[in-house]
Amino acid sequence: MHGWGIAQKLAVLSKEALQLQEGTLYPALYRMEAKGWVSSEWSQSDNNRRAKYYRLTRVGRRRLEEQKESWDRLAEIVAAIFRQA
Amino acid sequence: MMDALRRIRFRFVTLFRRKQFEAEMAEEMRSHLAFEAAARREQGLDEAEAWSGARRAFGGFEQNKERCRDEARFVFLEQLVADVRYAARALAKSPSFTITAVLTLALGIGVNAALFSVVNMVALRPLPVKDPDSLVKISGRDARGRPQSAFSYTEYLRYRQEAGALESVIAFTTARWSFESETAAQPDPERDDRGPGRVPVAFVSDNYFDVLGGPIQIGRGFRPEEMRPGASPVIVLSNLFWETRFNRDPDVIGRAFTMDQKRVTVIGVAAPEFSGHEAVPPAGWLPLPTWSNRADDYGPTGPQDFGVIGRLKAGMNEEMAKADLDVIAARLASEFPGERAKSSVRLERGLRFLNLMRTAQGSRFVSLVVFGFGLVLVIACTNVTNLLLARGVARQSEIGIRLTLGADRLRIVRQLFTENVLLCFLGAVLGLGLATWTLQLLLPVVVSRLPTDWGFETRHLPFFDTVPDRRVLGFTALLTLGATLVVGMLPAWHASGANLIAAVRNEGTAFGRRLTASGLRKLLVIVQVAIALTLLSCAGVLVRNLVSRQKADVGYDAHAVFGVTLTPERMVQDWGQKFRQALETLRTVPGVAAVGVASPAPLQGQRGTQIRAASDPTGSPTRYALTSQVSDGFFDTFRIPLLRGRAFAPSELHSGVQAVVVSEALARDLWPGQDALGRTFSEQVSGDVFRECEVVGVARDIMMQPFHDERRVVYHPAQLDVWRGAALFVRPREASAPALAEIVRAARSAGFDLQFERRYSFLVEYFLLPSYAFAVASAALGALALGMASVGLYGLMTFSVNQRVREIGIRMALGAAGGKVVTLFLRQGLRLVAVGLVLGLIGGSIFTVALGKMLYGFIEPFDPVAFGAVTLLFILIALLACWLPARRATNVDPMVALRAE
Repeated sequence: MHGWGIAQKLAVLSKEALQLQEGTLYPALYRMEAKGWVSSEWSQSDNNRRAKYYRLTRVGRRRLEEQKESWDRLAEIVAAIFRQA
Repeated sequence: MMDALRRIRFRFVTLFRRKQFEAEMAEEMRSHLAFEAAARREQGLDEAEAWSGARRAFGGFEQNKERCRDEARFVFLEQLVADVRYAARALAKSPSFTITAVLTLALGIGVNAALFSVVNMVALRPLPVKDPDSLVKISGRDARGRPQSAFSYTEYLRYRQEAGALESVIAFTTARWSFESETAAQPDPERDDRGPGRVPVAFVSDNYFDVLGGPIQIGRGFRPEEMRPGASPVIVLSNLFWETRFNRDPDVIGRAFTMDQKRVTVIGVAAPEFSGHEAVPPAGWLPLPTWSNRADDYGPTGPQDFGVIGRLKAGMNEEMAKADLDVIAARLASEFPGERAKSSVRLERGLRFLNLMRTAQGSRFVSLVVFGFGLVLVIACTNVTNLLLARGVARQSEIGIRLTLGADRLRIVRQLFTENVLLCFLGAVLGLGLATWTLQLLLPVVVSRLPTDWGFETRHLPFFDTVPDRRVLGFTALLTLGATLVVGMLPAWHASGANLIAAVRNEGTAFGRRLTASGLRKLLVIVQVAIALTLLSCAGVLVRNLVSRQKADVGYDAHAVFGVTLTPERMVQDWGQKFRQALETLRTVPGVAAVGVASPAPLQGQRGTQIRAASDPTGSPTRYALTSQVSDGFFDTFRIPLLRGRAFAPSELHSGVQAVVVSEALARDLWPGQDALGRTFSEQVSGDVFRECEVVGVARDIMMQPFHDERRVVYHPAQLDVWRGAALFVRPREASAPALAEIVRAARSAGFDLQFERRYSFLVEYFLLPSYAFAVASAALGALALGMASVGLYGLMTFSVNQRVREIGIRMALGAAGGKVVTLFLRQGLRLVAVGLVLGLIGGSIFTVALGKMLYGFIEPFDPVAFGAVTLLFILIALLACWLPARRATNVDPMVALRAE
């Protein structure tokens, strides 16, 4: 998916709550590419516009899983604290 | 996989295609904007509003790009790439400096790479066999500890059967067989060519080709029925022989040739890369049973003529194998006792041409040579370091400005260091190329001077391949690394420590102020001078040695003497008798002027003995002398005049009376000023047993050995048993091809086969070869060192003059004469040279003394003429190197100098 598409998808999924600024989005994408978590290639979009498409690499996928796990764990811990308090 | 590719592309573009990176980034942003605008238009806004809305939502273009750039950084790599680019540009901008530095480094590294290449070829590179490092050459030691390098056939078989530590054992022996002897020509004396009469052949066991992994190019290897005794002989030709004798004719398979009076059929040709167990292949390989047709030769009492090589089983090492084989050796020694029975074995791992590091003396010699070559590299490095230091001083203003603008000192050091690394790298590549090219030119010349009786070229052998292999490349890389560290760090560090104010104001040196780097540079020049002089004095000594050896009188006329061989000895029962008969008959042949026998022959070996004058009481120290057993015709054959007395009478040969002929040096030593005829002295037989010898003749001194020329010789009449191993010499009345052929014919009609080898003078020349090689090599090194040191000196002086231009101008404006300015600089330069000279002479003495110890008797270390000549040469060149720049100083126009910026 290309950069704009990612931003749109995130906005939709979070029901307009998360509106990524371009100033955050692209630096993040470039950082991830530098670290090897995503790879990019130029391609044509549906309306025939040239755009840079990003996809997760194998390493990136693994990293995603790790992040997801730690996020879940964090959420669990915080929820537990609030339940007790 | 695709991910990895894309990642590489990303890195490459980010680092090396910056423009493309920027363009892609910009396009990505633009396309994002376009998408955003499109979305807004779908919501109903018009074109212009859609776009402005999108741009507002996007935010700052440039800030965004900057943030992205920050994320996609590989700082270290980027800086490295930038440094390399900058370095390349900087070097290109000062071509004369770059060329000088690169050339100097190339010479220093190249010379060492060439030496290592040769060492690699000779002593490090394994021979082209399968898995050479698990092969061990087996030899033995007898009860007295003397090495015995060959075994009998029975011993070989027993080792093969009983050695548990070895997975296979092969045996081989060699001989020189005539090849189509009826048509083979005798050596043409006019051309002194390598007579093609006899060729070396090897006889090998059935598993030879399998164990060594020798591929057969055409035809086949041995079949079991061909390995039986009594089978008709077959041969597998070596590729080299096939190429030179048969012109690669594939029809040679199946053809039969007469070799050593037998019909031998060719069954195959080995592949070009296979040369057997030695560096130079024989003409071909035959089955071991065809070596002799006497069964006794293969029995326990047969000759110990077989070399044995084994392959270690997996997991075995030499110690374990030695223990295993020692047991077998002991068993054999008890079963077949004898003087040559072996009580223990010696194993040598890996097959190499020469094992230089085996003896302590050998390895010391090698280290000395390596050290000498290394010194050249040191000079090269000091030269380049000086150049770089000078360059650093010249760039003070540039560096000063950069420092003032806030550049990190470490960053500048890194950048300067990168420049130097690039220099060293270029120098190394050029040096390696030069070395390989030079070797490829030189090696065939050297090889063609070696004695081979082949009639064909050995220079195409894979052994002499000069292409650098991984060992040479690794060594060169190591050298380059060392050079880089030395040459690169110091000047880079120095240059970056600029005095900011002075640099910006471009005050290189104010009047009389000392240069920051000058002390170091002076030291380096002194080192260069010292090294150059060390190498030069060594060269001087070796060159003088060569000259004196060439002029040395051998004492005999070797030119018209030919070594000859008679038919293979083991065919005949009572060899000594037969040989003596042959000699008598030969003497009567009309074309023969003289015939002689010697064991050992001059220059072909030496045997020493201890003697005591008759007047010396028992127990007094003995004197050393050489000894040789000769026939009465020996002196005639070599034209050694008998100054007193006579040679041996036939009755004195093989009788118990020890009538001897002595050399005049011996006579002078034992009885100075007196007539030696009829006198007696005692000669050691063994231990404390001496025997009396009576002098019947005194011969002129001759050169028996090439090194450590001992001229005291005792000649004994040749005993019967000696004739088997003695060398036979013939002086024909006329040394032309037809005359020699006539002698051979006469010999054959008398019942035996005669073969002329080459002229004896060739042997004399051959022994001068090492002196030649040493002299040439050291002279070349010395000249190289001299050149580099003078260039270094010249460079330093020039630089000094340039830096002090203002000072010179002021002096001259104040009235100093041009001459005074010149002397000022001359004195400065010569002071350095003087210190370097003293150090160099000391170093040279140490070096030549060490060399003299290695090559005992070979050279005279303290040769004042050589040292003096060399010092004089150096002073002259140094004077020139100092004077030229100094003279240019006087051409400085004071007005220009004072205004110089």
